Amino acid sequence: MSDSPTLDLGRLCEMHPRLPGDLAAIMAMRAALGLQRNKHSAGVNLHMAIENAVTGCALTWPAADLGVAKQHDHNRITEDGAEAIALAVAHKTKTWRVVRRMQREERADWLLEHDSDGRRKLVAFEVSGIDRGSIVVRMREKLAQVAKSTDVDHRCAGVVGFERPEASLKSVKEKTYGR
Amino acid sequence: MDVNTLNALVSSAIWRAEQLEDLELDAASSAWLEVSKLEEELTKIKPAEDAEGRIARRGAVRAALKANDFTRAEDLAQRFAENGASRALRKELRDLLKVEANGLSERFPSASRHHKPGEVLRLAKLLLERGPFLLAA
Repeated sequence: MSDSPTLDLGRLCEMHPRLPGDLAAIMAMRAALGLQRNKHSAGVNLHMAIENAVTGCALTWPAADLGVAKQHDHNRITEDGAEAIALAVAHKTKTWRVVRRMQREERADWLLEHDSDGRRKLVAFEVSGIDRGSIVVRMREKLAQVAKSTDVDHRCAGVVGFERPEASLKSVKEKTYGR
Repeated sequence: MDVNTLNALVSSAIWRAEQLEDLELDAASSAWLEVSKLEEELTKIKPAEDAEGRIARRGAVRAALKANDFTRAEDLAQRFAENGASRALRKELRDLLKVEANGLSERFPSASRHHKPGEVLRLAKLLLERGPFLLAA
Protein backbone atom coordinates (compact mmCIF):
# COMPACT_ATOMS: atom_id res chain seq x y z
CA MET A 1 0.00 0.00 0.00
CA SER A 2 1.31 3.46 -0.92
CA ASP A 3 2.20 5.68 2.06
CA SER A 4 1.57 8.92 0.22
CA PRO A 5 -1.16 10.94 1.97
CA THR A 6 -2.53 12.16 -1.35
CA LEU A 7 -3.75 10.49 -4.50
CA ASP A 8 -2.65 12.45 -7.56
CA LEU A 9 -4.44 11.59 -10.81
CA GLY A 10 -1.69 13.40 -12.67
CA ARG A 11 0.61 10.51 -11.73
CA LEU A 12 -1.58 7.73 -13.09
CA CYS A 13 1.13 6.64 -15.55
CA GLU A 14 3.68 6.29 -12.74
CA MET A 15 1.24 4.08 -10.85
CA HIS A 16 0.43 2.04 -13.98
CA PRO A 17 3.46 2.09 -16.30
CA ARG A 18 1.67 -0.02 -18.92
CA LEU A 19 -1.27 2.38 -19.14
CA PRO A 20 -0.77 4.34 -22.39
CA GLY A 21 0.03 7.99 -21.66
CA ASP A 22 -2.64 9.46 -23.95
CA LEU A 23 -5.28 7.22 -22.41
CA ALA A 24 -4.21 8.11 -18.86
CA ALA A 25 -4.29 11.81 -19.72
CA ILE A 26 -7.83 11.80 -21.14
CA MET A 27 -9.13 9.59 -18.30
CA ALA A 28 -7.59 11.96 -15.72
CA MET A 29 -9.06 14.96 -17.52
CA ARG A 30 -12.52 13.39 -17.53
CA ALA A 31 -12.13 12.62 -13.82
CA ALA A 32 -11.26 16.28 -13.27
CA LEU A 33 -14.35 17.37 -15.22
CA GLY A 34 -16.55 14.96 -13.26
CA LEU A 35 -15.19 16.19 -9.94
CA GLN A 36 -15.22 19.90 -10.82
CA ARG A 37 -18.78 19.82 -12.19
CA ASN A 38 -19.72 18.48 -8.74
CA LYS A 39 -18.05 21.60 -7.25
CA HIS A 40 -15.00 19.79 -5.90
CA SER A 41 -11.50 21.27 -5.89
CA ALA A 42 -8.15 19.50 -5.93
CA GLY A 43 -7.29 18.38 -2.39
CA VAL A 44 -10.85 17.23 -1.61
CA ASN A 45 -11.14 14.26 0.76
CA LEU A 46 -11.89 11.06 -1.16
CA HIS A 47 -13.88 8.64 1.01
CA MET A 48 -12.67 5.12 0.37
CA ALA A 49 -14.30 1.81 1.27
CA ILE A 50 -11.77 -0.89 0.49
CA GLU A 51 -13.42 -4.27 1.08
CA ASN A 52 -14.77 -3.67 4.61
CA ALA A 53 -12.31 -0.95 5.70
CA VAL A 54 -13.33 2.69 5.55
CA THR A 55 -10.60 5.27 5.05
CA GLY A 56 -9.88 8.44 3.12
CA CYS A 57 -7.19 10.53 1.45
CA ALA A 58 -6.72 13.83 -0.31
CA LEU A 59 -7.43 13.58 -4.04
CA THR A 60 -5.62 15.92 -6.41
CA TRP A 61 -5.66 16.28 -10.19
CA PRO A 62 -4.45 18.58 -12.94
CA ALA A 63 -7.20 21.23 -13.18
CA ALA A 64 -9.48 20.98 -16.21
CA ASP A 65 -11.36 23.76 -17.99
CA LEU A 66 -15.07 23.14 -17.36
CA GLY A 67 -15.73 25.07 -20.56
CA VAL A 68 -14.57 22.04 -22.56
CA ALA A 69 -16.94 19.66 -20.75
CA LYS A 70 -19.51 20.07 -23.55
CA GLN A 71 -17.02 18.51 -25.96
CA HIS A 72 -17.21 15.28 -23.97
CA ASP A 73 -20.15 12.93 -23.65
CA HIS A 74 -21.71 13.34 -20.17
CA ASN A 75 -21.68 9.62 -19.42
CA ARG A 76 -18.13 9.16 -20.70
CA ILE A 77 -16.97 11.84 -18.25
CA THR A 78 -18.50 9.78 -15.45
CA GLU A 79 -17.33 6.36 -16.68
CA ASP A 80 -13.82 7.27 -17.86
CA GLY A 81 -13.30 9.57 -14.89
CA ALA A 82 -14.33 6.76 -12.56
CA GLU A 83 -11.77 4.48 -14.21
CA ALA A 84 -8.97 6.98 -13.54
CA ILE A 85 -9.93 7.27 -9.88
CA ALA A 86 -10.55 3.55 -9.37
CA LEU A 87 -7.23 2.59 -10.98
CA ALA A 88 -5.42 5.10 -8.76
CA VAL A 89 -7.19 3.76 -5.67
CA ALA A 90 -6.45 0.14 -6.67
CA HIS A 91 -2.77 0.99 -6.94
CA LYS A 92 -2.66 2.96 -3.71
CA THR A 93 -4.51 0.47 -1.56
CA LYS A 94 -3.64 -2.88 -3.17
CA THR A 95 -0.51 -2.13 -5.28
CA TRP A 96 -2.30 -3.50 -8.33
CA ARG A 97 -0.99 -2.48 -11.75
CA VAL A 98 -2.58 -2.42 -15.20
CA VAL A 99 -1.67 -5.23 -17.57
CA ARG A 100 -4.16 -4.34 -20.31
CA ARG A 101 -7.69 -3.25 -21.10
CA MET A 102 -10.19 -6.03 -21.78
CA GLN A 103 -13.17 -6.19 -24.11
CA ARG A 104 -16.55 -5.73 -22.41
CA GLU A 105 -17.52 -9.35 -22.99
CA GLU A 106 -14.72 -10.46 -20.65
CA ARG A 107 -16.97 -8.89 -17.98
CA ALA A 108 -14.23 -6.59 -16.71
CA ASP A 109 -12.68 -3.36 -17.96
CA TRP A 110 -9.10 -4.02 -16.92
CA LEU A 111 -6.72 -6.89 -16.35
CA LEU A 112 -4.46 -5.99 -13.43
CA GLU A 113 -1.61 -7.83 -11.75
CA HIS A 114 0.07 -8.02 -8.37
CA ASP A 115 2.61 -10.15 -6.54
CA SER A 116 1.43 -12.53 -3.86
CA ASP A 117 4.13 -14.54 -2.07
CA GLY A 118 6.38 -14.14 -5.10
CA ARG A 119 3.72 -15.34 -7.52
CA ARG A 120 2.13 -13.15 -10.17
CA LYS A 121 -1.63 -12.95 -9.75
CA LEU A 122 -4.13 -11.61 -12.28
CA VAL A 123 -7.14 -9.50 -11.33
CA ALA A 124 -10.25 -8.78 -13.40
CA PHE A 125 -11.25 -5.23 -12.46
CA GLU A 126 -14.68 -3.88 -13.43
CA VAL A 127 -15.26 -0.16 -12.87
CA SER A 128 -18.30 2.07 -12.94
CA GLY A 129 -19.08 5.66 -12.00
CA ILE A 130 -22.09 7.52 -10.67
CA ASP A 131 -22.40 11.27 -11.05
CA ARG A 132 -25.07 11.71 -8.37
CA GLY A 133 -26.53 9.41 -5.74
CA SER A 134 -25.68 6.21 -3.94
CA ILE A 135 -23.13 3.71 -5.26
CA VAL A 136 -24.55 0.73 -3.32
CA VAL A 137 -26.82 -0.72 -6.01
CA ARG A 138 -24.23 -0.21 -8.76
CA MET A 139 -21.63 -2.04 -6.67
CA ARG A 140 -23.95 -5.03 -6.37
CA GLU A 141 -24.48 -5.07 -10.15
CA LYS A 142 -20.79 -4.77 -10.94
CA LEU A 143 -19.81 -7.48 -8.47
CA ALA A 144 -22.31 -9.83 -10.11
CA GLN A 145 -20.88 -8.95 -13.51
CA VAL A 146 -17.20 -9.38 -12.70
CA ALA A 147 -17.91 -12.62 -10.82
CA LYS A 148 -18.46 -14.22 -14.26
CA SER A 149 -14.99 -13.23 -15.49
CA THR A 150 -12.72 -16.22 -16.16
CA ASP A 151 -8.97 -16.87 -16.43
CA VAL A 152 -8.01 -14.66 -13.46
CA ASP A 153 -7.02 -15.23 -9.82
CA HIS A 154 -9.16 -12.44 -8.34
CA ARG A 155 -12.24 -10.54 -9.41
CA CYS A 156 -12.90 -7.04 -8.12
CA ALA A 157 -15.40 -4.26 -8.73
CA GLY A 158 -14.69 -0.58 -8.23
CA VAL A 159 -17.41 2.06 -8.09
CA VAL A 160 -16.77 5.79 -7.88
CA GLY A 161 -19.32 8.36 -6.78
CA PHE A 162 -18.53 11.91 -7.85
CA GLU A 163 -21.03 13.71 -5.64
CA ARG A 164 -19.37 12.99 -2.27
CA PRO A 165 -16.71 12.00 -3.71
CA GLU A 166 -16.16 8.34 -2.82
CA ALA A 167 -14.56 5.18 -4.15
CA SER A 168 -15.40 1.62 -3.17
CA LEU A 169 -13.47 -1.55 -4.07
CA LYS A 170 -14.89 -4.98 -3.33
CA SER A 171 -13.57 -8.39 -4.28
CA VAL A 172 -15.66 -11.37 -5.29
CA LYS A 173 -15.26 -14.35 -3.00
CA GLU A 174 -12.77 -16.73 -4.56
CA LYS A 175 -13.90 -19.60 -6.76
CA THR A 176 -11.76 -22.17 -8.48
CA TYR A 177 -12.44 -22.61 -12.18
CA GLY A 178 -11.38 -25.90 -13.69
CA ARG A 179 -9.42 -25.44 -16.93
CA MET B 1 7.40 -6.49 -30.45
CA ASP B 2 7.38 -7.21 -26.71
CA VAL B 3 4.28 -8.13 -24.73
CA ASN B 4 4.19 -4.86 -22.76
CA THR B 5 4.13 -2.78 -25.93
CA LEU B 6 1.42 -4.99 -27.42
CA ASN B 7 -0.65 -4.78 -24.24
CA ALA B 8 -0.41 -0.98 -24.30
CA LEU B 9 -1.40 -0.92 -27.96
CA VAL B 10 -4.35 -3.25 -27.47
CA SER B 11 -5.53 -1.16 -24.48
CA SER B 12 -5.56 1.99 -26.59
CA ALA B 13 -7.19 0.21 -29.53
CA ILE B 14 -10.01 -1.29 -27.42
CA TRP B 15 -10.65 2.04 -25.72
CA ARG B 16 -10.85 3.85 -29.07
CA ALA B 17 -13.10 1.18 -30.63
CA GLU B 18 -15.47 1.34 -27.64
CA GLN B 19 -15.70 5.13 -27.90
CA LEU B 20 -16.43 4.96 -31.65
CA GLU B 21 -19.00 2.20 -31.10
CA ASP B 22 -20.77 4.24 -28.41
CA LEU B 23 -20.98 7.13 -30.86
CA GLU B 24 -22.34 4.71 -33.51
CA LEU B 25 -19.67 5.76 -36.00
CA ASP B 26 -18.83 3.58 -39.04
CA ALA B 27 -15.15 3.86 -38.12
CA ALA B 28 -15.85 1.48 -35.22
CA SER B 29 -15.58 -1.51 -37.60
CA SER B 30 -12.04 -0.70 -38.71
CA ALA B 31 -11.11 0.08 -35.09
CA TRP B 32 -12.30 -3.39 -34.05
CA LEU B 33 -10.32 -4.95 -36.90
CA GLU B 34 -7.22 -3.24 -35.51
CA VAL B 35 -8.06 -4.69 -32.08
CA SER B 36 -8.40 -8.15 -33.61
CA LYS B 37 -4.99 -7.89 -35.29
CA LEU B 38 -3.30 -6.73 -32.08
CA GLU B 39 -4.96 -9.53 -30.08
CA GLU B 40 -3.72 -11.95 -32.75
CA GLU B 41 -0.17 -10.61 -32.29
CA LEU B 42 -0.52 -11.25 -28.55
CA THR B 43 -1.53 -14.86 -29.23
CA LYS B 44 1.84 -15.36 -30.96
CA ILE B 45 3.60 -14.47 -27.70
CA LYS B 46 1.18 -15.87 -25.13
CA PRO B 47 0.37 -19.61 -25.47
CA ALA B 48 -3.14 -20.94 -25.04
CA GLU B 49 -2.17 -22.49 -21.69
CA ASP B 50 -1.56 -19.00 -20.35
CA ALA B 51 -4.54 -17.00 -19.02
CA GLU B 52 -3.53 -13.93 -21.01
CA GLY B 53 -3.19 -16.14 -24.08
CA ARG B 54 -6.77 -17.34 -23.71
CA ILE B 55 -8.02 -13.76 -23.21
CA ALA B 56 -6.17 -12.72 -26.39
CA ARG B 57 -7.56 -15.64 -28.42
CA ARG B 58 -11.14 -14.87 -27.40
CA GLY B 59 -10.41 -11.18 -28.02
CA ALA B 60 -9.04 -11.74 -31.53
CA VAL B 61 -12.10 -13.75 -32.59
CA ARG B 62 -14.62 -11.47 -30.87
CA ALA B 63 -13.09 -8.28 -32.28
CA ALA B 64 -13.12 -9.76 -35.79
CA LEU B 65 -16.86 -10.40 -35.35
CA LYS B 66 -17.36 -6.82 -34.14
CA ALA B 67 -15.53 -5.70 -37.28
CA ASN B 68 -18.12 -7.71 -39.27
CA ASP B 69 -15.37 -9.97 -40.60
CA PHE B 70 -16.88 -13.41 -40.00
CA THR B 71 -14.42 -15.14 -42.31
CA ARG B 72 -11.44 -13.81 -40.34
CA ALA B 73 -13.14 -14.81 -37.07
CA GLU B 74 -13.70 -18.34 -38.39
CA ASP B 75 -10.11 -18.63 -39.64
CA LEU B 76 -8.71 -17.43 -36.31
CA ALA B 77 -10.94 -19.77 -34.29
CA GLN B 78 -9.91 -22.72 -36.44
CA ARG B 79 -6.21 -21.86 -36.20
CA PHE B 80 -6.40 -21.45 -32.42
CA ALA B 81 -8.29 -24.74 -32.11
CA GLU B 82 -5.58 -26.55 -34.07
CA ASN B 83 -2.79 -25.01 -32.03
CA GLY B 84 -3.11 -25.97 -28.41
CA ALA B 85 -6.48 -24.58 -27.34
CA SER B 86 -8.07 -26.54 -24.51
CA ARG B 87 -11.48 -28.13 -24.99
CA ALA B 88 -13.04 -25.33 -22.90
CA LEU B 89 -11.43 -22.61 -25.00
CA ARG B 90 -12.42 -24.34 -28.25
CA LYS B 91 -16.01 -24.38 -27.02
CA GLU B 92 -15.86 -20.69 -26.08
CA LEU B 93 -14.58 -19.80 -29.55
CA ARG B 94 -17.23 -21.98 -31.23
CA ASP B 95 -19.91 -20.32 -29.10
CA LEU B 96 -18.76 -16.85 -30.17
CA LEU B 97 -19.15 -17.85 -33.83
CA LYS B 98 -22.47 -19.60 -33.19
CA VAL B 99 -24.01 -16.55 -31.49
CA GLU B 100 -22.97 -14.34 -34.40
CA ALA B 101 -24.22 -16.83 -37.00
CA ASN B 102 -27.58 -17.06 -35.20
CA GLY B 103 -27.83 -13.27 -35.20
CA LEU B 104 -27.14 -13.24 -38.94
CA SER B 105 -29.84 -15.86 -39.54
CA GLU B 106 -32.36 -13.64 -37.78
CA ARG B 107 -31.30 -10.50 -39.65
CA PHE B 108 -30.95 -12.13 -43.08
CA PRO B 109 -33.10 -15.30 -42.95
CA SER B 110 -33.29 -15.85 -46.70
CA ALA B 111 -29.61 -15.26 -47.45
CA SER B 112 -28.63 -17.42 -44.48
CA ARG B 113 -30.47 -20.40 -46.00
CA HIS B 114 -28.29 -20.28 -49.11
CA HIS B 115 -24.93 -18.89 -47.94
CA LYS B 116 -22.36 -19.31 -45.19
CA PRO B 117 -22.28 -16.54 -42.53
CA GLY B 118 -19.14 -14.94 -43.98
CA GLU B 119 -20.76 -14.74 -47.41
CA VAL B 120 -24.00 -13.35 -45.93
CA LEU B 121 -22.02 -10.55 -44.29
CA ARG B 122 -20.13 -9.85 -47.52
CA LEU B 123 -23.40 -9.62 -49.48
CA ALA B 124 -25.00 -7.44 -46.81
CA LYS B 125 -22.04 -5.08 -46.97
CA LEU B 126 -22.25 -4.94 -50.78
CA LEU B 127 -25.97 -4.25 -50.55
CA LEU B 128 -25.38 -1.35 -48.18
CA GLU B 129 -22.53 0.09 -50.23
CA ARG B 130 -23.93 -0.31 -53.75
CA GLY B 131 -27.66 -0.86 -53.47
CA PRO B 132 -29.74 -3.83 -54.69
CA PHE B 133 -29.33 -3.29 -58.46
CA LEU B 134 -25.53 -3.30 -58.46
CA LEU B 135 -25.63 -6.37 -56.24
CA ALA B 136 -27.76 -8.14 -58.85
CA ALA B 137 -25.33 -7.09 -61.59
